[in-house]
Amino acid sequence: MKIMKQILSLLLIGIAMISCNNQVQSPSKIDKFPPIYPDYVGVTVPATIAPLNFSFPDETFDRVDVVVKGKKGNEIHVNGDAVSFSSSEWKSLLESNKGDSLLITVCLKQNGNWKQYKSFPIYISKYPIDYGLVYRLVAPGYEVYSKMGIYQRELASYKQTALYENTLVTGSCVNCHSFNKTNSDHSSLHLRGSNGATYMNINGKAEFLNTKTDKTIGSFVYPYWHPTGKYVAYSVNKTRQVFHVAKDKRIEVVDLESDIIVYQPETKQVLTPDLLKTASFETFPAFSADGRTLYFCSAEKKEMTKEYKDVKYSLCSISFNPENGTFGDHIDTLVSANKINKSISFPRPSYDGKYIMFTLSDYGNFSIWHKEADLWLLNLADGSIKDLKEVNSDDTESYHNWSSNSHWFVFSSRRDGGLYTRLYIASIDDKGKVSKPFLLPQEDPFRYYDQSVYSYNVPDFVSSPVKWDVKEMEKGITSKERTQVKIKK
Amino acid sequence: MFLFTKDYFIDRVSLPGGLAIYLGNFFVQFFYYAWLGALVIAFLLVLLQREIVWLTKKFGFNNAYYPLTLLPSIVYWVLLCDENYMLSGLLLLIMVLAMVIICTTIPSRSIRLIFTIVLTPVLYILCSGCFWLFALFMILLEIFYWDQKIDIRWWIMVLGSVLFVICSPIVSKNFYQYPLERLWLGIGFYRFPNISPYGEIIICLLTVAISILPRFLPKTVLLKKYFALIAFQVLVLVIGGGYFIKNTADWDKEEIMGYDHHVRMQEWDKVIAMADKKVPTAPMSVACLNLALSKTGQLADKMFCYYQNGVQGLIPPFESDFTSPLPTSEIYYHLGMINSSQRLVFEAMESIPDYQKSARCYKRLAETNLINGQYKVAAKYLRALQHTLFYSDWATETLTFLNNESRINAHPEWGQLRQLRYKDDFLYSEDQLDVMLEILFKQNKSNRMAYEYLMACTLLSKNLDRFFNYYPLGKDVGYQQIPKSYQEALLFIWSLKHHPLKERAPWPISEQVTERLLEYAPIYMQDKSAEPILKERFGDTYWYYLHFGTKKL
Repeated sequence: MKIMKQILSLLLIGIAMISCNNQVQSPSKIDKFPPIYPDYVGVTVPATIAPLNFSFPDETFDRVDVVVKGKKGNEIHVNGDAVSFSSSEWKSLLESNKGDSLLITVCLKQNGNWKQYKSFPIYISKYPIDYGLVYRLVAPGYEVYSKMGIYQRELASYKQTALYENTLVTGSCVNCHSFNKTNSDHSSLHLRGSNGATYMNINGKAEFLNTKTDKTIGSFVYPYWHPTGKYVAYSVNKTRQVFHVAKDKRIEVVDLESDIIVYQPETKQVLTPDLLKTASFETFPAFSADGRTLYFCSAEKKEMTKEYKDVKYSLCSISFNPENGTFGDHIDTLVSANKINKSISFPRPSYDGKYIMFTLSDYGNFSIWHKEADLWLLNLADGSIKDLKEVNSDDTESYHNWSSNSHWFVFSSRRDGGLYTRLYIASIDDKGKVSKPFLLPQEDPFRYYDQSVYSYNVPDFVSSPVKWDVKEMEKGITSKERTQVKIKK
Repeated sequence: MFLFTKDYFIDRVSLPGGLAIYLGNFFVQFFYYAWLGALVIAFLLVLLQREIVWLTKKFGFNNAYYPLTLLPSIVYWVLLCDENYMLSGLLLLIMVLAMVIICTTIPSRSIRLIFTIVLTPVLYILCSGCFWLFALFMILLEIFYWDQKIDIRWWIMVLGSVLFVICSPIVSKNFYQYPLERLWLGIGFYRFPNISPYGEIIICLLTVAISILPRFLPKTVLLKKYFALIAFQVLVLVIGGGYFIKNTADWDKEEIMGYDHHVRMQEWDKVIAMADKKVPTAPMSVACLNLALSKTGQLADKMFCYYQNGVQGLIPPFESDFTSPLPTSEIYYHLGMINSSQRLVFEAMESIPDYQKSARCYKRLAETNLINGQYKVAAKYLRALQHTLFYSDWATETLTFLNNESRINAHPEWGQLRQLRYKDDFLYSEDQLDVMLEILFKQNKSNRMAYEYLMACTLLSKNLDRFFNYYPLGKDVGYQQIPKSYQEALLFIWSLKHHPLKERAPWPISEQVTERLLEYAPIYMQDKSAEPILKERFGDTYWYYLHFGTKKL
């Protein structure tokens, strides 16, 4: 017994000594921020976000010590060979510091010596964020596609679930998922391939549509729900891919023709206003927050693909009467491509009616392949546009969407290497101040993103988990029974 | 691509049959060397046979029928002649039989019963595919080896196993997004997911049949018949096996794969040696040969010494499958058309039907991104390759080049390709190969391959006007004498309006070429169907190709 006690004491002393040895001792101060990946220095996050674990891919070190102190109180301390915060401690810390900030102090032990970097803040927004994100994961390829799927990611954790994967129906391609103002009870999804259809799910009732008609260019493409859920605007496009030969560019995706239609799920009818099916290229429809305006992009028709660089899209609008599904008699140009000598794509009105966010590039509409593509914001109150310098980088910023309270937006960016698209989230306050964006957190972000062979596509917020019935989808897709949409006369 | 990482392991084994797929991929990486791949397959087939010997002994084996135990391995060999049957299927069978063998060492009937029921779904998770074979063997062994009565315990074993055999795929449908048929038959055992690996099932049933066959054959054989019986079986197996293997293997495909392999390894002399042994006719093989001729400085002189099938045998058009873009990608790479090379490699990899990735493609993607200065993308591929067996050292070394412009520029291959690639951008057009090659050559006149491919393009498409217009571009390429095929084309053009003897051509055409044209022309003019005669004497000339060769654009 006595020997046992002695052994136990020695063991405890040993553990204590090792622990002491791992604690930060006399660190040399480095007057710069730590070289962390992802760059979370000075970002603004919602209080419910999953832990922002980070790492040091360009550094070798023996140990890392991180102290996260809330300005309103509480702290987390991590000491080990990696930075991994406990979910429960993180949640509690953020919740108790909502509306204020955290201060993160990072120390690295290298060659037996500690060094302490300049502490950096992370701001905790008072604005809540939606339940999650839905996006497509697909390789950044050319014409051929491999495995892909639509996935849902809970923002409060790292949990990602597959909503639909193309292993379910061999050879299928899925794209353009869309929800009504983050409400997943209204959803639309295109499936291409031999079992092609548009999958529409309204309040749990699923339909598989054949959206090709003899009066329209092709199947439905880019979707946008009317806030009432009674209409869905789509573009119809004839699209072609071409390829660059020189090093700085890879792909160009051009429309040979494009128009806009509005689909009415209740009646299965397609509205085809004349002003939206001209010889010009009309595409990227988006309803205003009040549903009384349809925004879209329009470009003068050019000889394609010869004049592909001359195709520049303006941001336009036409009034819409949701009571009877009729359109105005003229088109307004909100931002003229000719005036700014640039091209606009993906207009996304904020749900509070204040702004339209869009992507601006030198020409064309498929901006993900344009390094110069950036996010801009149109202020609907005064018509001014501004470059969102806070979120833009030297590489592509493209597809984006708003959270339901219009205080957060998610966007695609290729800043982390130039090819594989990643998702960033940023906030915008009541005064229009935009925060530094943060990369969608992962448990081990560097390893996760480095090993991932997929790009994140078409991100959208959802306010609750999506309830697609995969078995029902499989049955519907493989049955080949389709509901034919009809042109409204 | 097989990666020695925890994430790769988890990613594979998290699918039904994942362990078999993981092990299959592990062994397939050794196919990097053909001889090693052959050794791996031989080892696994012998292992299968040894397992079957063990099992037949349990069922009352007579040595007189020993050769029959080779039958499943021979049939599997025939199956593997279809390269789309994955090695994981063979490993699945080996694993399932191994589990049966282990369980035959359990003396307690109750424990065997429990193991059979419990291991059935476990084997589904680890192996899927023909996992039901385990339960079937255990049930049969109870009767034929353990001599147990068909009583309530036997029925519990049967019903329990059947329940799990039926339910395992159905339950897994709630967790995996695959069609039920694939969850039944296995996910990674045939490369094309829309084709069910029924061949695998046939072999499983054959395995059962061979194993229990001894129960139905005579237990004793007379000594004088013993050797005759053995010899007869061996003869049937060798002749039958040889026949089926020879006729099942697609030797044309084997040839193409051989050419592609040597091109990938830049073994140009081996490519030409293959062609000298048997002249290739498939466009992919011809394209590989033309590349090898170009890399050894022989294209312009010798291309018509071999069969040519038009421009598609020079730069094959893009087809969206996982093999044919690869040789074309190599051609673009060596030409300096780096973007096109990169695109085709990416397309080939994305075309792999079972969604696997390719280390070969990763390597080429790393190189093309490195050449184009996209270092972060190159680094991503290189870091992945660091976890492979055969590319790890190369990847580690190549990582040290990133961001080091002077070092890359000094590299004998990458530095040179940086100089050769397009400086000014335009859009790729497969219909205008000659225009693209012309631009490529004009942007760097040291790109001899671009010039020779340009000329070859015009000759193979029988467009002599364009050939004549492009020809002067080559004045600074550095030929000591005009290449043979160009001489033949030039003299032919000249002879359309002038007599070669009376009016000397304005280019230094050799006497031999002139004499041969003077022999060729009258034969052709007299009888345009004299192809066999012309082929025998002038089959190596451009004139023969011009008049009788295919130009396929």
